[in-house]
Amino acid sequence: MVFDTFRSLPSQIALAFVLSISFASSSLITMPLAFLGIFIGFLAITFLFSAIRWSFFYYSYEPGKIHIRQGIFYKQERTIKSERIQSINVYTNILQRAFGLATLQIKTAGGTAEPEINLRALTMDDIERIKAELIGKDTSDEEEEERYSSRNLEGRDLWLAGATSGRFTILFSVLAVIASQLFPYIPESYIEYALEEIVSFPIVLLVSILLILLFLSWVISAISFMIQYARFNVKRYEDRLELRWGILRQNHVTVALHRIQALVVQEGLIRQPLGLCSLLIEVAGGGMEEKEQTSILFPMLRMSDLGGFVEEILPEYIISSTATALPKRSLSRYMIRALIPTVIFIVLLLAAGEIWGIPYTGLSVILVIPAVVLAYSRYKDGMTAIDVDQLTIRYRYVNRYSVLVKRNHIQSLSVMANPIQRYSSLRSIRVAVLSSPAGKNFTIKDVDKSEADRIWQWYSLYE
Amino acid sequence: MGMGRFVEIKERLKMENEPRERIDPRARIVWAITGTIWAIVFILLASAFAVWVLNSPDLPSWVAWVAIILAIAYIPWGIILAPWLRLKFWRYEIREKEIEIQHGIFIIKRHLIPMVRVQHVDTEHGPIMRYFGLATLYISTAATRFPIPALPKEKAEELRGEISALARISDEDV
Repeated sequence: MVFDTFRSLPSQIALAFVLSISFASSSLITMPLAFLGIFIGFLAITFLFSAIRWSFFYYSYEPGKIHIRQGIFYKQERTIKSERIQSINVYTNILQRAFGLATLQIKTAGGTAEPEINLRALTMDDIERIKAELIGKDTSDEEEEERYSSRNLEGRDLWLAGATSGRFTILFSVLAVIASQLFPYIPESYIEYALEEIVSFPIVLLVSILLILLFLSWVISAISFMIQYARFNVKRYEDRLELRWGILRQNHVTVALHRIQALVVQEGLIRQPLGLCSLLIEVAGGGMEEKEQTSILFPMLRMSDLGGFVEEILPEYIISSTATALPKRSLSRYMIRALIPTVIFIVLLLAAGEIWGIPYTGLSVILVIPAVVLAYSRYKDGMTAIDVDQLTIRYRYVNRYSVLVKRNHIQSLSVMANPIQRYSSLRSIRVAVLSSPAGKNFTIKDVDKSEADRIWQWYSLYE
Repeated sequence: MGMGRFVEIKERLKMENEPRERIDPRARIVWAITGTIWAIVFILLASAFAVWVLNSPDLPSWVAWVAIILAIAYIPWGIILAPWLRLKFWRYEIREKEIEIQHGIFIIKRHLIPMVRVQHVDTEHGPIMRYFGLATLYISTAATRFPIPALPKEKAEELRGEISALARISDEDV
């Protein structure tokens, strides 16, 4: 099955293209044929290399373990026992699907140099068989009988999710890459000419060009988000979550329930006013890659539906209704914390404007307004709640986050107070949870001392 | 009136229900020695900076003096005040089901680590600590790591055994 060589076709073509540009830059215009030759040559070499590598890759499996042998010169052998396996995921891209193939990714508990192995170019039948041997049960038969609840992101919601994803930068990063590649080949006189022209443009035109580019970038980012998360589906079985998403690259991720350490509700700046949020999970163990993907539980959800969703998919967690807000006296601390860096920045800018005669630096005073607004909403959004064995903390940095964590998933609890906080009976609270690759802290500042004591006692009474 | 206000502020800044155990008072000497080394480094750096400033005609000379004053101001802070405050606030308590640690100079931090979350305990000692027969005990969970510094060596070993037993960690499983 040399189809394996096609798996990374786009990246290989791109690599060959970049390499041949660098090697044949002078001939790109004068001798297009030479350029083409080098391009095809590089492509052939990468194909050949992939094919050779594929032919040296062997695997075998038996109940409870899988064995892998690979390498052309440097041979590598590895046996993975099923109790070491953290998760088994399946990915397919468009080329693999054309040939009915998929990638099986086996993630093991950290500690080893390679936390995951990838078996590329397997047929779906093979994958089912391997999974059955490793997990010890025939998943294909049982799947129909097993009870589960399921949620999809589809239709209009997918559009909405893309449009509110808060991603704007894709077009700009693509333009930057193209510019950095082409820059050496543009004659200097062209650049000078272009710069002069741009400076002489009326400012209204420049601003509207920028706005149009921003709009285009937003549209492209939205579409790419939609392609990435199309057909998003989450299924909750008794002991695990199964997540599936994507068209071009299809993902199938299994998360064992006991690995979930915290549930995070993220309300982005664009989503929050529309009453939308996204759900993330902190997952223990597994490799460092794909982290971002495995931690998305649902790309977009209505806040009004949040309670229903959690009850269906993760009923272990509760959307709290007994929140304790921050005390009034912490507002001034939030204000000071946001204003000090802003004022320093403005003063520096004004000083620089004075010294070097830069116009319009006076306008930077306006920055005080967003700083005050942000400080006030950080204060207003701060909240803590205890529900039986669950702690909820809500805080804002820019986006608003609600973190739901079970007592037995908190690795350690810290309460901090500087002299001013001690004087006004305020405390900062930090909760450490396990999350790949390392731990993760969630902090809320300037909580009332009595509330901090309550949380401390709640955690301390454990067992 | 003035005195009453002072007492009130002092009362408010106090920490209540502090953990019971204190670390070895010789920690202050260890930190003072570290502070002395830093003070020397800062004074050398400040002097070099001052010489450079005074020799370049564009820069005002007060910049040099500010650097020197800052370096000198570090001496009482790094050698006397900071070690004293740090020792004053360093507390710990090992209970059957949890460990409580308190430390800080300005920002007082208090950590609570349930025994069941403790993954391993180890001891370390730097050259100065070793000279005084002291060791630092490190308590690690899956996500965090907390030191208890300046414990007499035997005490550190004893605590390590005690915590291991309470947390049910086998010595091989590290």
